[in-house]
Amino acid sequence: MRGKDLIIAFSLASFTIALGLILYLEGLGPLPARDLRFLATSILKNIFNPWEANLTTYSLNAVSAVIWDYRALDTILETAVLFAAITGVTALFREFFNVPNTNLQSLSVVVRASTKVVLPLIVLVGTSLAIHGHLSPGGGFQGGAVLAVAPALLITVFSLRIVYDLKLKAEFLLGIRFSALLLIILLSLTPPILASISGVKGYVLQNMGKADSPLSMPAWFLNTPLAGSIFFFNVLETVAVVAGLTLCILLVSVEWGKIKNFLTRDENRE
Amino acid sequence: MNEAASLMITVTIMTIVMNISIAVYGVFTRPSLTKKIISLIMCTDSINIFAVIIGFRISVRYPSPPILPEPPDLDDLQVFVSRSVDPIPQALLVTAIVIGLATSVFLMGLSILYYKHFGTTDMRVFSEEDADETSE
Amino acid sequence: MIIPLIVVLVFSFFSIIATYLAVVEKDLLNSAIFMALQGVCYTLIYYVLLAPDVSLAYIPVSSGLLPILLLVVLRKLERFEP
Repeated sequence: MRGKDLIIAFSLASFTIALGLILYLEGLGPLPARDLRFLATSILKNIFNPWEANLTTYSLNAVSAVIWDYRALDTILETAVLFAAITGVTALFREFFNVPNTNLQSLSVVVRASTKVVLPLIVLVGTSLAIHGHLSPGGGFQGGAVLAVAPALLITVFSLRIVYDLKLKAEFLLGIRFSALLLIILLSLTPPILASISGVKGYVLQNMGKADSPLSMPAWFLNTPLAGSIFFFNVLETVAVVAGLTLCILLVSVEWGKIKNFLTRDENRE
Repeated sequence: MNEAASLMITVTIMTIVMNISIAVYGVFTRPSLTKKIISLIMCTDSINIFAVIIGFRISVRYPSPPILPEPPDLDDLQVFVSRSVDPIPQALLVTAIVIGLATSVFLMGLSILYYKHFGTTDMRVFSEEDADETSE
Repeated sequence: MIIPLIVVLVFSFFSIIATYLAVVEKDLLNSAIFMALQGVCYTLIYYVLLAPDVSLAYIPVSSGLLPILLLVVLRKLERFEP
């Protein structure tokens, strides 16, 4: 047992015991608070409140309302962070934008048959979560992540040949991802543009009409509440997440022989 | 006060503290790059549960999730506000999960480039080379 | 309130076992499977703590996308820890 290992183990154990003791004696405050904080009370009171038309959003899901209406700027920037990571991975594997032809075999017939049964169910669940995001638990990122499991499963079971047979290009997926992000930003800039055309006031990322601005996104759809821009944001975010994550899996799973040639050829060039 | 809910919160907090320390031990001690990535993902996921614990509501006998089942009138709104848990930490958590996924995907892409240069995923090779350069 | 309490106790116990085995294991394939098992335990804890949105966002990330990516990367690098 070396001295370094002993010191690491001792410090981890004392960190654990000390943190547990502090949390138990309520040194950081009573950990689940006794009463709800004032900000949470005022948000919960106003998410579906037709009697207070300045602050309401007409959405039945409080978490979706907080994500896409009260704190919408955080979510747009988080989508941009995911886009930056995908761009980074694309730049590392830039030689494989045209996926090379392979002759890999797919897995056995049992796995293929059961995948053909499971895939339509995954697509159905993902689409339902994306569209119903303002009425029940769900939303843009949840539906997009569930939908992105389907291409990952397809590439794993049927091998990279299916991408070549379906003629799916990496530039196409990157183009979809980029245009979905552009449409999200355009949707957030729509009220000021419409307002300057028709001569009233409009705010960036505005959802419902406020006291000094009569513009508002559609709030009802044939007597179910449609929470205006929250629905459109959910659909666009689903498309963006599916395209981005499929591109990542495509680029990382190119054959090792071709990646090795690319990497060693780079080294010989230096 | 709700005794069962209090016991639930205390047990969950002790479990999460244990998981965080095991994952941090894994990041420091194991020499393989892939093992470090796995331990980092587990540490991030364990810290995320603390945010949900902060938003929980213990002084109500039967708390409810922050979702309305149908368009309410004013009395339904009063009952809903008096019973539901905090929705703000949950919104911050969805953002945190997405950013954790982005970081992990990029780290996995970078580890392939590390393998190109050194021929192994052992991090001790990197630190020995660094020590040789700084001692010269 | 009995069933949520039992679910939290049992699955917290399993999550500590899964985390420790994932860190100590030498075969990295088993380590990725233990990571997915820990994700399932955390999903149930999120559900009992009344956060359905977070639970729905965490299921595909921890049990679907990250293990698949990890297994694809493992095939290109080394499978056993040095």
